[in-house]
Amino acid sequence: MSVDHFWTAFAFGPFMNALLIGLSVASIWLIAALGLAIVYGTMGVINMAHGEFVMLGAYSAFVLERYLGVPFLACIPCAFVIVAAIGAVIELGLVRYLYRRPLDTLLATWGLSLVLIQTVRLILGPEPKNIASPEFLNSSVQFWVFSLSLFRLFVIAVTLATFAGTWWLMHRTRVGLMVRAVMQNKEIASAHGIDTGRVYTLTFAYGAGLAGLAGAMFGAIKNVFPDMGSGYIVEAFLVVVVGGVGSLIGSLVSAVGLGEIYSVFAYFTNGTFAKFWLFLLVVVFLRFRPQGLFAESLGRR
Amino acid sequence: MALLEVKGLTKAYDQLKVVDTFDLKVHQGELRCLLGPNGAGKTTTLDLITGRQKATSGIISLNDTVITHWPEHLRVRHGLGRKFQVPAVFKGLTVQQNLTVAHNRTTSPIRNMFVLRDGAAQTRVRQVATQVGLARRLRDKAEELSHGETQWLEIGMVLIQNPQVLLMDEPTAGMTAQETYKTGEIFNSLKGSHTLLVVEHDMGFVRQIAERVTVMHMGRFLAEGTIAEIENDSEVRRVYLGKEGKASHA
Amino acid sequence: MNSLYDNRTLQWIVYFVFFAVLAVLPMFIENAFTTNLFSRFIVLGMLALSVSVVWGFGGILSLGQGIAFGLAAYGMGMTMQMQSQDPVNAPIPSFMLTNELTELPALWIPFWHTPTGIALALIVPTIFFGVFGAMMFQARLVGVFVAIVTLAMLSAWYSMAFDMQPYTAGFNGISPPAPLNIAGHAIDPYSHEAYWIVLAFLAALTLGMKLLLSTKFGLVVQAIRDDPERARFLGYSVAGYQVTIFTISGFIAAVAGVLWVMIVQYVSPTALEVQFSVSMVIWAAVGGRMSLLGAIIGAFFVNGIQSYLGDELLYGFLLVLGGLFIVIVRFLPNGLAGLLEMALARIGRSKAPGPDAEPGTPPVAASAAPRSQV
Repeated sequence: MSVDHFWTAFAFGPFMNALLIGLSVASIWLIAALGLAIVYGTMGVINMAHGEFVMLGAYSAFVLERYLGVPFLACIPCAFVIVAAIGAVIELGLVRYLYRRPLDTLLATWGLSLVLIQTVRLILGPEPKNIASPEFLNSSVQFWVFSLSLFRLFVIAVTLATFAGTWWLMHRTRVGLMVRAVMQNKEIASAHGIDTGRVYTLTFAYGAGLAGLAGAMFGAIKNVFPDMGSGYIVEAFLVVVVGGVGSLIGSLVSAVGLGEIYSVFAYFTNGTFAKFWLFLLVVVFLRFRPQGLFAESLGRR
Repeated sequence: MALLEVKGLTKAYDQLKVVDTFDLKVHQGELRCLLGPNGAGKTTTLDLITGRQKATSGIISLNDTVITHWPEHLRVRHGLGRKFQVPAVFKGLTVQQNLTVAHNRTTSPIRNMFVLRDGAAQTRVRQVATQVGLARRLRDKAEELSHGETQWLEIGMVLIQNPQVLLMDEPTAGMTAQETYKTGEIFNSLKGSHTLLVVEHDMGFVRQIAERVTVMHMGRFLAEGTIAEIENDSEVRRVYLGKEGKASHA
Repeated sequence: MNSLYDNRTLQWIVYFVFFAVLAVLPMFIENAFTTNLFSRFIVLGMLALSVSVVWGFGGILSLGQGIAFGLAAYGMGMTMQMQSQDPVNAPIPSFMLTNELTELPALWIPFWHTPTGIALALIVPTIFFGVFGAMMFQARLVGVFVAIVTLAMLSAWYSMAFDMQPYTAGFNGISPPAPLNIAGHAIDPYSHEAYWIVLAFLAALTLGMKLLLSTKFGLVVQAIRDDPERARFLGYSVAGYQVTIFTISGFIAAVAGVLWVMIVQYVSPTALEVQFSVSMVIWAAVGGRMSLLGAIIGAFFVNGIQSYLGDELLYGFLLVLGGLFIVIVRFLPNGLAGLLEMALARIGRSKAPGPDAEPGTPPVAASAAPRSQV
């Protein structure tokens, strides 16, 4: 990149397209952030290995498709189930013991992410793999000034469906009611006979499953490689923090907002520069609204 | 003129008024108890006075200065001292270190970098430790203290600040009868020289220490008077003593 | 409490002995490569020191210590690069030519002058930490929020260093062709001299921090770590103390960044990688974040093993490191130093009540008295 070409002038068609790309970026960040938001909102656990769950989802899809001949569309729900199972095991074996120490959980899950990356690297090798997605998703659609690959539209659709499903699960089912009760007040919930341990295991597994589902799609957009997870984790965290802890709607709004801001910045300058300003903007935002968009206030004593 | 004065204090969440146009005057050298059933708004009132929560409306003044919108640490520097309901001490530090930190003659980070040993402060630390009965535990970590001792340590931390008004939120919560009695003696020794506002549930303790009592109910002022007057007030008996009186240690 | 571990005088003696041993160490090393390796360990120890100060004592889990390290490293890299440039014959570094720059960017101009360059390399990151810290701590961000925001800020700088290729040489990084030259004297990165310079800085900073943390300031910082709200209600400006300790830790990391480039003659975006900054936290956690010396030893220990195993075994090593880290966080939150503390406490207990017990100490039974659990 040369300095002369740094600034892109405004042009209507491409700019509108940048807005559409912003939505696509938002959908990717949202689906990556959703599991994180639920786990953090319910359990107060910052899962630094969330990106590695995404990676595991991508590898699950890869292995299923390459070695077992499962069609790509079927790999996505399978990735959800596989990674959810891994998540449940990890909750029972590690996270469970660290609930009262949020900073330690953060560090332990970071250690876990190292272990997961290296294990995958040792077993499946460091070189990037490809997931073949079905032909019809590889074309792109044109209408008016817009042009977007079908695959990205597909990701937007899956994200919206997952979001709606999660919202329904949390607000319209008994399990969701239990999760929200635990979220509000763990002691009172357990006094009313809710098995908080099980709620935590289920929540963590569900969050991990969502990451796995995201990973199956990301793997098809780009490549599958052992440390691919680190490419999503920071953005996912920012979506959660800006949206407000424990608020699904907040995550949706903040993902769209951040995705659009990023895309517009990136349109005028370039991707990395846009990310720099976006991150800076988030820090400034948190200075004035540390509780995020949709949360009452930080949990004080 | 009152030392601490609260006028029309209100804290509202949407429709719910936790504290509702509450008035209170505490004079120099007074020991005032604030009573009321659970959810009457006592702790919230202390939160509003110390700035832990922001008042929706009303005026708080200390020593003729309006402090309603000041940040917490400036209110403390202006003369408020607060003990929390759940005892809050620095668990990783020793009793001596806890009291040294509470001895807050200088609060500036830069100036405190040059305070390596402060003889006068240490003399005061030992004095206060003796006063609250922790002289023999100075070198123990706060996390090793019993619950009652932790409460005393926090009372000591408020005392060593030498504030104009000491706000005590349930100082005897979780104490044995013996510990409660000893705490009452500490409080009685402060009468006259210190100004205290004490939130309390334990009626026996209130009888031991109180001169004047203010009763809150549903966020509002209900009654004020001597402990005898309050105990005979039919309104108070109805909302408070009738139910809670049985449960208390009285 | 009164175990040997908490004995102040003994602690100071151990610190002095530790640095004395490190000072005579090069006498036994002939190999220039090994000397340089040890110098590197010392700089990494300095980073663990900065983590211990901010996290172990300040209670602020910063995953962004690499920002100060990286910015300072780039400052130093630029300074050393400009020492090899000539205003007439070679006015701009060659990587800029390949990136279509024809004259030196304004950003680089102050680095012609070595003292200014080094001063900027130290001051800019320190001021940045001050401003950044003020934004976070005035907003009362705590715990995991601070960790995430520092992480985001670090990634932002990483992408900048990576992307601003004409100014930073991007992925390739800046490799100054000659060692640092101070007033006509070149400091050979592989020499004992370089080792001693680096060690002198580590010793000065460590002992300085040890002293600072035993002042009233240090006590308040630790009090804030335990309970910020209680400290606020004692009249302390919590944000003020947090910003101060955060800035100090940034300064220490900046010194490390400057020294690092002095001994490796190279700086690239890897200095700003997330992985690297989290590693610093690991070193401090392994050694014991609540002990300055423990954290430094943790850095020596982990990096020592890492370079002993070499690159072929590196992936396996990272696996073990991750596992080790999980175990330490889960079972040994105070690291190796915590292990020592427990051991000494046990020895002390088996001796008690010995002649060295304090007269004011209550008998053991008193502290074991029934307590209503909090």
